[in-house]
Amino acid sequence: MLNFILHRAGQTLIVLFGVTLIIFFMLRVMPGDPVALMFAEGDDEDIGAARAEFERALGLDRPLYVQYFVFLGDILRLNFGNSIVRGGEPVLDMVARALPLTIELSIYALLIALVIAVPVAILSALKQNTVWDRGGTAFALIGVSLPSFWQGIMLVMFFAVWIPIFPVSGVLDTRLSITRVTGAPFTDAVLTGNWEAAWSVLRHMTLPALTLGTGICGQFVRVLRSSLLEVKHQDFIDAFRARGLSERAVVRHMLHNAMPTTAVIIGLRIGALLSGTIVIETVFAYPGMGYLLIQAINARDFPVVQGVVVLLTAMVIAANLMADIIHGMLDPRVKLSGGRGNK
Amino acid sequence: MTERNLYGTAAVSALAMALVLSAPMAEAQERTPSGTLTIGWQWDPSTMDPQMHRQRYTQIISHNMRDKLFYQEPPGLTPVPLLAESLEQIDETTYEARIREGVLFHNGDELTAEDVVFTFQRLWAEETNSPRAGMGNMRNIDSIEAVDRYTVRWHTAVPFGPPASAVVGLHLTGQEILHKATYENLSMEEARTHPPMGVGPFSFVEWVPEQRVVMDAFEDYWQGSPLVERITWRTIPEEAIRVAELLAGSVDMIFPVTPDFLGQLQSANVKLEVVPGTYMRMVMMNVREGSPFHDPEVRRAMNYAFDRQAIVDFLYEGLANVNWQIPGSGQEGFIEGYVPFSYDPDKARPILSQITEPIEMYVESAWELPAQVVAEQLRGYGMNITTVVLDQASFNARNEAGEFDLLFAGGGYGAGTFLGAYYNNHFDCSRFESNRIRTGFCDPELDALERQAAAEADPVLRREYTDEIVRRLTEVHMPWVPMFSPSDVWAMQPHVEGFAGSSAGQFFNMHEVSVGN
Repeated sequence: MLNFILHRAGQTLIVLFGVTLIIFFMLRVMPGDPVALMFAEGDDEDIGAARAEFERALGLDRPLYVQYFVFLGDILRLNFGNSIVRGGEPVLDMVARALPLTIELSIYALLIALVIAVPVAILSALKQNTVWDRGGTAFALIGVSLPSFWQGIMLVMFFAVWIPIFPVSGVLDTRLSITRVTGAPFTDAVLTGNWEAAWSVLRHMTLPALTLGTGICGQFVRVLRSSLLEVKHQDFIDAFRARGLSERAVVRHMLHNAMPTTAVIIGLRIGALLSGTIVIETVFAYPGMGYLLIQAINARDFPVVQGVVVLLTAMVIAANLMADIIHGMLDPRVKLSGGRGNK
Repeated sequence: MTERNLYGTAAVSALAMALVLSAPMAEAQERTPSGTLTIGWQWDPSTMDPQMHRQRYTQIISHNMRDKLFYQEPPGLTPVPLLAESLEQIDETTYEARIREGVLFHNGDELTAEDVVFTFQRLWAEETNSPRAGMGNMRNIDSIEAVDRYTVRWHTAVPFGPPASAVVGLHLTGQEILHKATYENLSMEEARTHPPMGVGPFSFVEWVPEQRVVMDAFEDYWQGSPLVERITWRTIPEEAIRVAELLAGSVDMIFPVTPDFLGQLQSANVKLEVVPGTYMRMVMMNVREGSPFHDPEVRRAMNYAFDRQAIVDFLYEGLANVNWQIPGSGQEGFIEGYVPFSYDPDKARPILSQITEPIEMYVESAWELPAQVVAEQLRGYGMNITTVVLDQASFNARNEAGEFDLLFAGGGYGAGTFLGAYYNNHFDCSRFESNRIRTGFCDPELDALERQAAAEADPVLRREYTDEIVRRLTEVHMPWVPMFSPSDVWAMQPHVEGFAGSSAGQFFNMHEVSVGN
């Protein structure tokens, strides 16, 4: 196991180095830059000179390879630079503010996805080729196919405007405030016993989490259903039934055997979950990592985009690693080891 | 003294007097603020330091907490004294402003000339590296000094003209005044998030980045206490969600509102505030050799080609002004009643139908719909036009590099000026030195005339020169087809009273707004 983790950590470093290289140069190849956008218009008599002066002060007039090595050196010291557009705010501060929100939203969305996906998949698998199965499959297909932007706006119109159960957007009722502990609003509200704020955060998160959750639960339904069907026809399941085990106990055993594959899929879907937040967080004015990234890309805020992409990549790699480890723990047939060809 | 100097001095005095006379009256009224106003708008301020950004929206937040020496009064966007009582020209390169007495900062300190001097010195300091330092003509200011407790003097390297134009050059409408005692001890990093201290109508309560800014009424505000007790500015980037928030009653006002949602809002119980916009849309043509639009006759035909009124009526529900000349309505240089072209397909067709090569017209995603209509109108003449949608950064890059034949572009004139920065940015040949090619248009003769107009103290002559520049640009050179300026639209609950929209300040009179909640 230790070998496996060390081996993967080595691979991770190589991947991260590649990501820094790609993101840095891709941003520079893309048309437009933050200073050009800032100085695109304005009532400066000599806007060209003003812009050139500002660029020089930020070091953006230096050769690209010099800028890249400065960026790389900074990252090694865990300094991700300062935002050009947001008055020099450190990128790490911005990430520290956004990341806890995205983590909470993703966990909530994951829970919603599982709460919907598990019963639907079980029903589909147990009642294969019936109307229940076809309904479950159709549900999964719709979940995967609906554009999340449209789905989000529809949920808002139904459940926030016409039947006002949930707030339209935001993180917290503007009358309330939360004492910062971890930066994750729901967790902080619970930790400080601020139940009114906790309830408000939960209500604000529900519609974005539902939009995000239904988007990914379709795939969970399909994977879990297939795994359950595979297990369902195994001899040991027939043996359980022959021994007179209740159907409930049989399903529990089936789930236990189908879970490893599903766990891997959940791990692999973390990336999709995070990319889904780019749209969802912007729609619902929920300032997490996706929101931060899209704002930074639009403004060509190089340090922020670079920092967020590198950190998100590290997170996705870590999530996949965790999924592999959990898979290994759940399924004794899987052996985790490092090195060449000895897996 | 020559006759011309005499005339100039008389004009200067008259203008100084006019500025004094038009100063708003500071009648402190007994008013008790009540209620909360929640505004849902597209943006989040990028910093609480008013000298470290170039965004209109960050400035709106800032100037609700910190007043400036002058402000632009709608609808004409004329600079009007605010914290200043007057601006006088002492000699060709010296200007003096008298500031109001008895104006209090949020902590109770009185505003003095030292605060004004500190504000500008901090702005220009090399270590500040402010992106605003070169605004107006501030790069040509030699120094600033406090003459006495309430008098500030600027020394400029070149003449800035009469006070009415010097206000713009000195950038007195664009810089919020800082509290020296607070800011002189703050590092740049600290100033970024430090609670703003100013003499504005509202005092800072909290800023939750990307979520909200909250400010409370400052009851000792020199123009009288605001009517509303608290304003919460909520960041809601998506317009559909802003509209939903307004319909759900969770915000009192939203901005901006585009034509896409006007119908929905008009059928709901919602008030709309509409003011003429200061952001003109135009079709920019590449005038350089090799482009089909190099020929002035083609550009002339383009000016006859579009049914602008149809676009305004059907896409903008009538909430836009049709433009026929290079400056927009309300902008300096705009010639009342000057309509050199008309919608005349018969004049456009014979020339435009000859252009059969494929042409791409670039547009930002936010303006795709009108651009598609414009392209379709051109296709009606037999032209082979494709619309290419770009994000703002890519679009700007292409505009600056001059890599286009047609560009469905925009130009903001919130400052209200035409001579100086606006002209330099779009038309002056000197822009090529900093690789801002744009249409490729350049006429040194016109540039000389522009400099002559900008330096002219006599308002009649200045107007004459400006008219000449505008007519030559619009009718002879024609690098643009002026199209329309969409109105600025705010939507609000019926209980919001007293709000007056302004396309320049946008939220300039918040202390006069009241709510019935």
